[in-house]
Parts: sequence; structure tokens; C-alpha cells
Amino acid sequence: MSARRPPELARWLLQHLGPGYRNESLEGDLFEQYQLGASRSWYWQQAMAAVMVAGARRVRELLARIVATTLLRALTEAGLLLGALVLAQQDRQICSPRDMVNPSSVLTLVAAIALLMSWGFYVSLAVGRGSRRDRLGRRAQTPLKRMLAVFAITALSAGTLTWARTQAGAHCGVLACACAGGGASVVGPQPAAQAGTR
Amino acid sequence: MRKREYLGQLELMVLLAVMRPAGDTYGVRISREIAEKSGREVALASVYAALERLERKGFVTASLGEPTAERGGKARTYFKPTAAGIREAREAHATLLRLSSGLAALAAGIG
Repeated sequence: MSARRPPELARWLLQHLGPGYRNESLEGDLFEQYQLGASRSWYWQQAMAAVMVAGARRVRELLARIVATTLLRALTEAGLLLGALVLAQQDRQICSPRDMVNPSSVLTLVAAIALLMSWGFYVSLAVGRGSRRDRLGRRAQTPLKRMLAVFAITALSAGTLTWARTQAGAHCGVLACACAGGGASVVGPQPAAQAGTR
Repeated sequence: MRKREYLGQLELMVLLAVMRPAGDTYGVRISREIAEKSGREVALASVYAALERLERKGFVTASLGEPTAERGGKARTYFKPTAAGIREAREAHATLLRLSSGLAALAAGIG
């Protein structure tokens, strides 16, 4: 006796869009029931249910990943932008070679290097993201964790830069004012310094 | 301390259906058992989704049978409850019994 052939399209959908977990056994179960007299519509119903279950699972998995990645990317980009802005401000305040060995300037340099490194890492992640898959065919978790590391480095660097800027502003503002001779932009205690010279 | 894994309604039904003395439980049998005992038709894919969650939680183990012609050359996957699964089912059952004590009183009041 020849076996009844289940609807081809439903089978194809099950094979390609099915849940992935014990897919073969699920197919076998449906085939077995179909041979025992289940109708075509029953087979279709079961196949569509399998596709929907798989779809819902994918959406659930992807949604958390997309939200987390987008949030981290936005935060990292904001951190990088803030760091770059503070770095530019900090650079304006270094007006003599003596300022270069100032602890806050050294910290600024270290933070700037960390910022550049995290930027490079971030770009390399953005380019190669999602390409790795583990042996079960699921996307590897590492990019998200690495993105978190990038965010931590960026946040730390930006924080250090902001702190260094505050430190520099406290004592270099007067220096900047004195060595720039009024031509350079003056930050920090400008009114007090001007009042002192009068 | 290990975080306790809670069971959903379908998961509990599937776990209880897996606990058959014959030990030959696979997708179709589980689905049929649920349909017979609860009067609720459950799609096979939903049963497998629940089984996947139960397996991940360590409440069932799976083993692959031999592929057969009547299944189109596909093998059956047999499921067995683990000790943790049996314990969890017992706890869930006891919880339901405790919670439903009010139901008997309510039913008596209505009757």
C-alpha cells in the first residue's frame, strides 16, 4: 500500500519555517497522523501552527536583542560624541609644554586613547555584526557583550575627560588667560582673573 | 540557591502527560493524552514548544528512536520526566490543591 502524500507546500513551510526544535520528529508525527486518516486541512492547520509558534519565538528573541543593541549603540554614540567634544575643549586649554605633563592632561591623553580604541572596536563590531553563529545555528551572544564593553570603556573615558576638563578649568583657566594674552578663548574663572588684573 | 523555574499551564499539562508508566511518550501521544483528559485540542507544535522549555529547565529528557517508514523515514523523539520534573509536578499539584480549597467552600455555598 502506498503512503498518502501530505500537502507539499505545507511540508515545505514546516521544513523551512518550522520551530527548529525536534523538527524532524514533528514532521514524522504529522506524517504518521496523516497516514492514519487525518485530513489535509488538519495537516495544514498543524503546519501553520508550527510556523506561527516558530515566528513568535523568533520575534521574542529578536525583540530583546534589537532593543538592547539599539539602546547600547545610542548610548555608545552619545558617549563618543561627548568624549570628542570634551577632548576638543581640553585641547584648547593646553597652551604651554608644561601643561602637557600636568596630571589632568596625561589622564586626558589616556582617556582619548581609550575613546579612540573603543570607537575602533565599535566600528569593527558594527561592520561584522551578526555574522557569527553557534553550532546550533543561533546567533552568538558575544557581540552584545562586546558592545557592553565598548559602552563601559566609552562611558569611563567620557567621564574621565569631563573630570579632567573640570580639573583643568579650575587651574588652567587662569593660565590660559595669562598665556593667551586675551586673544585665545578663556574658560573658567575669567571674570575673577580679569578683575584681578585691573 | 538555584532559582526556581515555574511552569505555565500548558507546560504542566505536558509534563503530567509525559509521566506515563509505559514510558513511550512522544509528541502525538502527549497531544492525544491532553486532548482526552482536558478536552482541549493542542497543536503538536505547541506541545513541542512546551517540551523544549521543559527540556531546557531540566524537567524532561529526550531520546531519539529509529526512523520508520510509516513516519516517512523520520524518527520519534521519546520524552521522560527527570527527578526534578517529578518533584516540580508534585509541588505544582500540591499548590493547586491548597489554592483550590476555597473553591469547594464556594461550590457548597452555591449548592
